[in-house]
Amino acid sequence: MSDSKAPASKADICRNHAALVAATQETIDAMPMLNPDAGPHSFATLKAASTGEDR
Amino acid sequence: MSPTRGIAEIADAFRKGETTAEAETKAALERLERAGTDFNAVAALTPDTALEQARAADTARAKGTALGPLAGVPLAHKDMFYRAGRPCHCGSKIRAGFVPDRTAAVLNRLDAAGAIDLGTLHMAEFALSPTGYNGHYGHGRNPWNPDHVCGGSSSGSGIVVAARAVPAALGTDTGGSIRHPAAACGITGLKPTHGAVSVAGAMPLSATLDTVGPLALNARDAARIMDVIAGEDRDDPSTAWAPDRPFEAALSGDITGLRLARPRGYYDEELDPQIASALETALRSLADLGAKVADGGTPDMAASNAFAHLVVATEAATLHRRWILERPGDYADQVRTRMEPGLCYPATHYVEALMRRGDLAREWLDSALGDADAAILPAFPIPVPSIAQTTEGGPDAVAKIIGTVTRNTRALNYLGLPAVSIPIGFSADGLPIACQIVGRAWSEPLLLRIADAFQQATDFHLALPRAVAR
Repeated sequence: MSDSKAPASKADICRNHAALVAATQETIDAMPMLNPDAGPHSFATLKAASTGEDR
Repeated sequence: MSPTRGIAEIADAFRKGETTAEAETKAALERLERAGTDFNAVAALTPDTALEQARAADTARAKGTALGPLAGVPLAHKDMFYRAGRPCHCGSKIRAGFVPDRTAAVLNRLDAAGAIDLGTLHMAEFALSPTGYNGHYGHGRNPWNPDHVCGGSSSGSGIVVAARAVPAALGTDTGGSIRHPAAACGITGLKPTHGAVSVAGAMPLSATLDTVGPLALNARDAARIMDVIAGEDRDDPSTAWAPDRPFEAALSGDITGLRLARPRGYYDEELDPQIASALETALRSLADLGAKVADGGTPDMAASNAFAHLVVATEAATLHRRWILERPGDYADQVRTRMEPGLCYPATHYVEALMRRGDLAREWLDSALGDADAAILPAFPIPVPSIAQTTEGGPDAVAKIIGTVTRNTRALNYLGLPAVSIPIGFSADGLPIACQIVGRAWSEPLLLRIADAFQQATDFHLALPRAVAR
């Protein structure tokens, strides 16, 4: 880990966290391919469709 | 003047003229001073403005003016809700001296409801610790045992309610920061559906995951707070879908026929036998109340946990990028290193996290709940750890215990779902054990109804820490 008092460089930061970043990306890349029709509002759509009422 | 009264009791006594807002405020300020000294729970009290508010409430009542649902009730909140002209440090060294020029939407709503604001409460630096760790201003201390963590990041909010200094406090929850202190301190904490409560005027950590909610003595008090703070707010577009619904009025005490699921698989892994036993006992109590309890499915949490980490790290690093690069030494290492990976992920993975969120929430609900109304999960999978357990042994050991403490909470923020944490027992070392009641989007009234019914039949939420009882 670099000296936390000195200004940091992004390259050093990403080198320090390379293992965690790689593991996270491997998990994501192991998922089935994203639907090519996917949009950024999937959660908003879920909320709009929910009422919170008992089933 | 008993410090164990909840919001409803104080508000009712004030309304009937059995107490005054000034007397309640003075007594609560004294209790907060003590909680600040004993448990490091307070950032800064504002007695002058609090007493001014209280006297105005007393005058309003004397004149017969209509009173709000929280009239005369003294509260204090996590130090990340802005109030114009009042310093707001967010538990940090970097923002020490920051004075906002606007007031958070939730504080405006509490003011309008008649609540008295006594000041700001201690918190983890920039809301980035599940334990209550703060490298600049010291650990929050658990009233049940000051050698143990109080939970964070809304650490002061959990402490002061458990210590019966005030009956409720607001917190924020981006990965468990309301549920952790509620669980560790033996009180009730509600993390709402993302977008149920405005976050406008609360310092953001991760706009996609941030939520605001109450920590309170019981589910009824949490519901009364929600009746005041929930709902659409033009300054927070994420609230555009928030339905208009009552919370306290939903607490019928009746959960007959409700279907409750106990998801397995992931939620059984790393589960301490003491927590498992308390959970089973709580489920039997809920069944005795008429709920139909059955095993849920075994949701796959790998993707949701990965995205939860990626989104909070990326959004926090975006907000903090200049400070991380130019003033790294002004953060505690434990805090800065949780944001730094966000500088390293490609935009495609961040956008993928947003695109998959709704589908993964549906998948979790289908698996964990199926046809059930709500799921019952452990909050912490282990007994409340000691401060030493969460700070000693080097960065890898600290990361491991933080990962364990947050494993049942953090993905729910990515999934955007509501969850209530309530006490369900005590571990062998006398610290609270808690469960989460989790449901579909906007199901907070239902979750609070379940919590309230459980609390009417049990007394875990009434237990007093020894240090407070004496």
